[in-house]
Amino acid sequence: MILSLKNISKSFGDTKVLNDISIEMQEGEILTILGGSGSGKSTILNLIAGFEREDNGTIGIYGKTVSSPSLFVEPHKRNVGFVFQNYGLFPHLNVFKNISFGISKESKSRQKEIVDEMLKLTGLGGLESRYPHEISGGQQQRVALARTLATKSKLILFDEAFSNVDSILKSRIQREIVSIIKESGVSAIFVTHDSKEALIVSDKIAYLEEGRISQYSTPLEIYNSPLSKSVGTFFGKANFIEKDGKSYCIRPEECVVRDEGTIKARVGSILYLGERQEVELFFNYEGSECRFTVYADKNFDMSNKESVNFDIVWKNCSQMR
Amino acid sequence: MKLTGSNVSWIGSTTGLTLVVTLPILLIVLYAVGADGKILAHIKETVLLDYITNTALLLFVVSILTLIFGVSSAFLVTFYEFRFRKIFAIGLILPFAVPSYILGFIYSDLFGFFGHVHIFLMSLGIKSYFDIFSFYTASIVLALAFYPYIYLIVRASFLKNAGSLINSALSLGMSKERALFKVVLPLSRVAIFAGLALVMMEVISDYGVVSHYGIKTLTNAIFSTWFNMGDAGSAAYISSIAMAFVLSILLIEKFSQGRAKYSTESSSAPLEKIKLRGVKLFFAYFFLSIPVFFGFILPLIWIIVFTFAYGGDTIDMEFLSAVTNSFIVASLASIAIIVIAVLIAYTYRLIPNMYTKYVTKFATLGYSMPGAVIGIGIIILFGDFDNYLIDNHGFGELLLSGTLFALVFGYIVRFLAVGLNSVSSSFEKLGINVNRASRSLGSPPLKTLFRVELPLLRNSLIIAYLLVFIDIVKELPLTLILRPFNYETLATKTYGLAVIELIQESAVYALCIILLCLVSILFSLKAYR
Repeated sequence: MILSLKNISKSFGDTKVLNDISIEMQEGEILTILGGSGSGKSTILNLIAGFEREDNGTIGIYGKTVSSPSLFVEPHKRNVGFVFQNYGLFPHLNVFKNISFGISKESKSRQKEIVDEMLKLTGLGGLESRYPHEISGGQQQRVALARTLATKSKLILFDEAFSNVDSILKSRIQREIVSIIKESGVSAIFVTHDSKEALIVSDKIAYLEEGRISQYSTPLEIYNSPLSKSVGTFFGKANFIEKDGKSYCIRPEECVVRDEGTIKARVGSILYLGERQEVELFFNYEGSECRFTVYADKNFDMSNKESVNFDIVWKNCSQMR
Repeated sequence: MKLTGSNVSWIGSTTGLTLVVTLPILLIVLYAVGADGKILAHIKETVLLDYITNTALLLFVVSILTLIFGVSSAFLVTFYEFRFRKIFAIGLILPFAVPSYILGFIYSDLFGFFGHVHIFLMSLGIKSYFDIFSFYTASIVLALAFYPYIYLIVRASFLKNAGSLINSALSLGMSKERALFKVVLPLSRVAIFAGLALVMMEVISDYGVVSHYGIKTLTNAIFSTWFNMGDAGSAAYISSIAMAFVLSILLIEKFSQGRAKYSTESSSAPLEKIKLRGVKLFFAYFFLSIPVFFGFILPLIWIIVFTFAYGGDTIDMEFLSAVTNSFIVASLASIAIIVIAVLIAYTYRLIPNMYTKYVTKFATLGYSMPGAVIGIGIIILFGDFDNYLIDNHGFGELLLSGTLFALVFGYIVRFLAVGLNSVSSSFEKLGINVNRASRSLGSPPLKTLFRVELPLLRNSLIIAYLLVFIDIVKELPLTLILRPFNYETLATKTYGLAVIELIQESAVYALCIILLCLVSILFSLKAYR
């Protein structure tokens, strides 16, 4: 196991930021910690890196306890990589020296060897004598990653690492970073408030809510089977319904609108989106009033319709907690 | 908070250093409580009340004058448009370059009984009975020297808040002039009090002007009690009263802020200035010229004239040794201050909690204390220490008292705040990520400091060093009390020549100090922008 957090709690003054958090991570895994602002997601990274200390619980990295009520290993001895929102490059050092910063104990020739390898891995060849302000944001980010990979740390933490990148470049840079991570076989934790980013980059997602992890599962699971309303709405459009006294989250894709169907609903607003239509439906189900957002085929004639019929594909829908 | 290995050493050394630099101040309180004896009884019976009323009265009059100069000049150059406005905006800061005691000496030379003005009037057959050595002229001199505190702080607050506020007042149907007086001015209350507090602390601290003009304030009394009667206990007692003055000013300032934290986040919206014309314009020029002319231009002319007149005679070995002494002692103290400031500020950076926050605040206590008070505190501290060594460890002579070390230590106590504030804010601007990045890459805190932070802060540290250095060079009271026997610096020499009525011969010394101060203002302005 590369990382284990057990029963971590942390308060700042009177506000409890983290409440009994436990996470286990396997080698080579990419985990994304997701949550709204102030949900304490960055605090988890700071605790793992050792920049802050938890009030309760233990943290183990590479199978060794690094923090517990009786023990605290300082950041410089943890060998955990950290990529900051603004990358945290050293502005007074060029790319080469930034990358070799953590391996200054190695011989000069060994340093050169490692840096060359990193430059190749991250596609930064030829930039080694540039200074951080002379390269692009995406390149800076790869330097920040190369710098931590050079130290052979097997765990790298990314704190909102993509939020400074403009949205057009974002997905390309995300793909690049993920492929570098996969290629070098390290584990990574991303912290973000962007659900799309989480679905793209992660093997596992931990959803943080009021200081607790409300769901910890794969991207597929967390999208298809959200355990709470807030998780459901966070990752996309979601409808909620009670059936036989149990709550279900129904994604719009699981509703089939057609002329024949088991549920009859009144049509509200219609948004024509090109590839499909987004339709607002009102109906009564098992005695309670429901409001659904569903998708209709782009060719389905919605004009002048006051009501339509639709079916829910129940087998694809999950029961919530 | 749980303490871990290196945290202990950072917090420990910061706490230790803070205790050392605040010890002289704490000792004053101890000694004041325990002080008794004939001299003190006599002082209490006869003159103490005078000292207190004189100080209070001086504070009152100087406050009124600095408020008039400071607030209205800031108001005029911020909200009105007229030719040379920008020159006035800078010029109004320049009196900062002339230390109060130099200003005082110059005016006594110009307007005294044997002064140029009087002699000129007499040559015209006009007899003047104007006495320069009065309470009110001293107040005016102090006001000219210190009003820039209020001017600078109030102007900054105007610039920060006024634009958007005036715009919203205008949109609510208020006239512009009415908005200025009803909205902007009241909102600047906090800034005005902050500036006024600094002025008052300077007034309490001043020795050069009050001694030259013969006003028996508390600081003046500390000097006479110590130098004429050699009674440290009584000096400590009077010092503690001066401290009480300072603390009440700080408390009132804090109280005046109250819950009103008026720092509106809105960044300065563009401000349409009101054009001044005709008689109003004439009065504005007249009014703004007074502080600039009398606070800077006239003194500068005087200094230049007499530097040329006497420069040949006064630039001698004594002058060179005063320059060297000033340079050496200020360099030593400034280096020590920057080192200590980096250590304390870096501890807070590594471990930002309530404890380190208050320790950092506490370390700046000396800056608000009058130089004379710190001087007496150190004399007591080192006296006790030396006596302890003599009594218990067979030392034959005083080890620390009256040494250069005592003087350097005094400067550290008094001016650590200047260095610390400057270093702290540069750390803050740098952001914490470079520090964390370095530590996560395997460099321990101390190594991180040397590999990353200090190289990045180099320029800010040089500026911080210069600001501290210049503050030390111009400091008079502390130097007078703590300097080794016959040790002359630029400040003490200026003072010494003035005391023996050779004011004009002091011009070249004053010129050195003023040039340094101009450099300091230049750097502060740059940092301020």
